Amino acid sequence: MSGARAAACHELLLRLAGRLPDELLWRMRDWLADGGQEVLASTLPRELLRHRAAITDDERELLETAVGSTHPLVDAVHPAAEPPPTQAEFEPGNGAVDTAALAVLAVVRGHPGCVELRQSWRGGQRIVLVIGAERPWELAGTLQRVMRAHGDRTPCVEVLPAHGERSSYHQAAIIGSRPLWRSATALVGA
Amino acid sequence: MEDPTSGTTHDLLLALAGRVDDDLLRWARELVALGEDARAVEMLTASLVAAKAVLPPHVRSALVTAAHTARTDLGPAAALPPPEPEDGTEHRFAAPAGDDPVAGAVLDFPARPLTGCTVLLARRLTPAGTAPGPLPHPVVLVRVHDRTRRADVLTYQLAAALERAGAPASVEVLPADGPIPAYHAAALEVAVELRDDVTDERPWRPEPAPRPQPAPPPERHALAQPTELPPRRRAPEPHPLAAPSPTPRLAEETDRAGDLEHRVVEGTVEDTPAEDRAAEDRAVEDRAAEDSAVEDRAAEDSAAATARLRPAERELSTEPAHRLDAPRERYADDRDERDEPAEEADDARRDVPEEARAEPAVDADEPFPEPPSPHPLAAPRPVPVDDGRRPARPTPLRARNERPRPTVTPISRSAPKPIPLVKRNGPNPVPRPLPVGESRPPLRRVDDERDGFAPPQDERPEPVRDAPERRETPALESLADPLNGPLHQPLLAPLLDPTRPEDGPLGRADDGRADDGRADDGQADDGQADNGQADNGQAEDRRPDDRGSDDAVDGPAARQFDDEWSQEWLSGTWAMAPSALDEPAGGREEERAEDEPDRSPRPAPRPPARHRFSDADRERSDEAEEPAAPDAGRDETGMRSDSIARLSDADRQLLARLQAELLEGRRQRIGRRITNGVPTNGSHRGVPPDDYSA
Repeated sequence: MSGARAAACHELLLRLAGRLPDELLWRMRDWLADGGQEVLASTLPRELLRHRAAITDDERELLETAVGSTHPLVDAVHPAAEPPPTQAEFEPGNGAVDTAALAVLAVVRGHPGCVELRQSWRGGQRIVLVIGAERPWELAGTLQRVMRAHGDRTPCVEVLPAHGERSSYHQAAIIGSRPLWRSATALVGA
Repeated sequence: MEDPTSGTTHDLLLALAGRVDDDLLRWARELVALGEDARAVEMLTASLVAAKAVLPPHVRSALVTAAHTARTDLGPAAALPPPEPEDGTEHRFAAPAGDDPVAGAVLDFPARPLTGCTVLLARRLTPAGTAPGPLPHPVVLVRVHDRTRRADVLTYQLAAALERAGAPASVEVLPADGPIPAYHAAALEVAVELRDDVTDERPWRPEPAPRPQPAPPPERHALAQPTELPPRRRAPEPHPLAAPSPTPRLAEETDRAGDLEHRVVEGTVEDTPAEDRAAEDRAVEDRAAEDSAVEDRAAEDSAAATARLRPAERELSTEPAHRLDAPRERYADDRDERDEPAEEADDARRDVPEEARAEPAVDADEPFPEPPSPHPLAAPRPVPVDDGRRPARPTPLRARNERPRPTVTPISRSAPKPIPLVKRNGPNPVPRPLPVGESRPPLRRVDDERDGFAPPQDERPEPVRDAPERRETPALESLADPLNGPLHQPLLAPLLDPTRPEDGPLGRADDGRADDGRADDGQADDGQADNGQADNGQAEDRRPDDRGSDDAVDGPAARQFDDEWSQEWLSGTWAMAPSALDEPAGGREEERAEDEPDRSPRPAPRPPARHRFSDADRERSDEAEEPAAPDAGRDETGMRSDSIARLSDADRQLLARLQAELLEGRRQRIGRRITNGVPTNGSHRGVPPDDYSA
């Protein structure tokens, strides 16, 4: 249960990228990485309401899985037919690899299931995109802490599933990204 | 403060310093400063619960209480691991480098919010929270000697300023005389004092002083000298010094500073075994020395500083200890005795800077006595400024008053001063002068109006200037201008003059004085042979009024008439009628004034026109209009025949109409106005003048 619940939390937090403030989202992902599903269950509905974030039916199912259908505020979260299109603009950057990127790469290379690592920039904010990973919430938490150690106060680490539908935010981020690393096994397998 | 259970969220945040990441702490402090304590507590609790943080009993209980108060669903009481007592803090700190960017940002921070505060800077060498930022992390420590300001707000302000300056840092605001958590005590041991604004309370005053200096410098000097506060004011000093480096300031200010400065200047921390041993009492320092060379350096620095400070601290600590003991009890219980030396050290530090400056307690008290100094300074500033401003403003008012006075003399003749003054001063002067563009001249006009002449004045000036819109007001203004400020309206006078000869009333006003007025009088007289006599009598009275000395002579009789006139003036009908009456009545002014109050008011308006003309004519219009010149000899009665002779056929026709109108009474006046192209209303008389000008 805990794994499924954490996966639901991670999936929901992924979908909320670009819809909640970075400073809040990275912290919630950090809580999740620490096993704080209960903490998320207590805070996420309130934050969704505070930021007037509407969720689709699929997202509501994820929320109920993560938080529990009995939470008094789950029903109060605004509904949405479709997730709002992202207005964020991403740029791949100049391709320079700094120490932070190297540190992230070192972690990603050793994490099971990782297929690809990409980096993008949204304004002055670095966006780390990791495609494919086991227990993605844990990898996300680790990479966030690595990024913070390198001075990124609001790390944006998006650990995406290797397959599946991606939000407009992540699609735009991938389009405006530059690859840093790609798994050889994944390439061979491909 | 140290007692997290003591209550405030700020105290809880102080107790949680070093237990959560610095960004979360900064965010929580911002929320607290904004009054969103509940969300701050929720975020802190969530992070601590998620991290399964082990807290000391007093901090844990405080957090549980705060979370319960904030109505969070986190349930920290059950979610948090059981409490464990702590001995001191695991965090280690080091003195900042000489070129620490945070130090520059702190020094650039305005002195006012830091009044009564001592600001220190240290670098934390150990991570805080589950997702710490880069190290060493700057920690700004603010010791508040003045309890009058809110610590949470000051924390937020300073933190926000540092972040804007590109040097984000943790800001910890602590009371200068209260117990201090081990975390802050360890930081204070090695912290470098960037600025000591304890005297800032004085600086508060000094700051205002520089502003007022231009006006009341002597006062400041007097204040500054007795108190000698300005020299003590270190806040200003650090600013200039800040540019070079914050460390030297510290050295200057405190004994520690001296030691620290040397170290900082050297760029490395040099330890003295004796000092280190002395510092051994503090577990933090010992730990630091054991942990690593860097840590050793920091510990050595802190130990040395503490060792040096100890003697003074102990001495000083005795006093604050009494104070601190009570609050510390809980915290001290939780802590080990090790904390006490740190606290003492803190106290000593406090004392040290205070001694250098003055006693800490004294400093705290000083702010109160000192404020008077700023007050006096502030007072002088505004006072001179206000004085200067006030006189300037009042001057125009006085000018108005003065102006009315001279005009009053003519008023005394024509009509009672009080009544006309009220009416004239209120509506006439204010609106009219403003639209006309020359406020001052209108004031004078007002005076004229007071005399009862105002209505006629209104008519004349109005046509000349903006007659249609401003009606009476422009006329009054124009009238006032010739009398008071002929120079201002010389140009207007000539313009008025041509119109005046045509408009009998204007000419009348000018009869004695201006050629234009004379021409007008002649016209009016000619046209209004019958009525004109009475009007003339009034006009004569008024004319002399305008003239000044003459007005005084006619004053008493005219005043009665003026009363009636003033009433008419108020009604506004006066302005219209008087112009017409004045023109025709040029010869029989006295008769009408005495016999008929209605007529008297009519002539009353004429006199104002006279004022204009008389003054303006003498000064202005005389030159401008030649036809008026021949009328000069027409004064009053004699004027009529002369004026008639001078008048053209058209003028004569007009005069005839005027006479007919005079017979009819006020309606005649309207007729003239119509002839002039002026609307019926007396207020509209301003329009006829326009027509004249046109």
